[in-house]
Amino acid sequence: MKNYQILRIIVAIFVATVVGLSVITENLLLAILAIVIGTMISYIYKKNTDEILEDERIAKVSEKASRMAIVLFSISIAFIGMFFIMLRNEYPDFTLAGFTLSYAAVALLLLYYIFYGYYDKKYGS
Amino acid sequence: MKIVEGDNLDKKSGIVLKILSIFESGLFLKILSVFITGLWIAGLILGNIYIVLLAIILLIALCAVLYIHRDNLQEIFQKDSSVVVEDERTQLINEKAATMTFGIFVAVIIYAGIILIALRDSYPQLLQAGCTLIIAAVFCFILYFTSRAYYNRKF
Repeated sequence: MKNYQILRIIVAIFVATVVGLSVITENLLLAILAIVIGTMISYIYKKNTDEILEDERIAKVSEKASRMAIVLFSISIAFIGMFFIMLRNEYPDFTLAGFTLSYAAVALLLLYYIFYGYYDKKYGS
Repeated sequence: MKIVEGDNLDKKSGIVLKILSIFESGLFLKILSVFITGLWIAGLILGNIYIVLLAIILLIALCAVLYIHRDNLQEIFQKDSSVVVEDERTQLINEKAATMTFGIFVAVIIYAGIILIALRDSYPQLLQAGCTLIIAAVFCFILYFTSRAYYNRKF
């Protein structure tokens, strides 16, 4: 598991560096390439290793953490987005940010309910 | 004489307790919750910060009541109903859906943010949206790793 963690850190640093550089140089292709390469390296290592990469405890912790993060995140961005939209007369510069956050909250909920429906069917509704 | 006065005092405190118990009843809390939602929407439509502030104050009060009764919330909201709010299956579905949603959503907003920032010369008006998405993704990661650390310690 340790080797995988080290690899993941290296891949993350590589992808972050290349994406950062590509944003500075405005080269979109480089960013996409870096993300694809990073994903592929991680996937190939996962497929070919005999190491136990995730036990039941880690999976459970990850699922619970995701749920908590999703709940807090959706509430936060919905509120912040709403505030920015409401204060459009006082701070018109932040209106776009407000709409972006609000649409993101809607997209998040939509995605969540799609997956909820999928897993509901999968585990026998 | 003193016994009669004591009886009157008991009756008065009983009435006060009854009035207080109305504010802690499930129905009242549900109505208050709907009212707060109405205030949020009204504040948003009218663009009035004071309505939203009122909603926040009421929300804090509601949270305080819920926190005080955190051990018997099920009793407050369900009373005699035998409906199960969340069983193990629902919990499993919720957690699996949240994991999948989290992964895809964060990946999509990071990609969208990078694309919008990278195209800042062609579409400068969308630069703020790109930065907002990246900041939101970072915030989401912070929340995830904080809750992960919490559950790691808990289990």
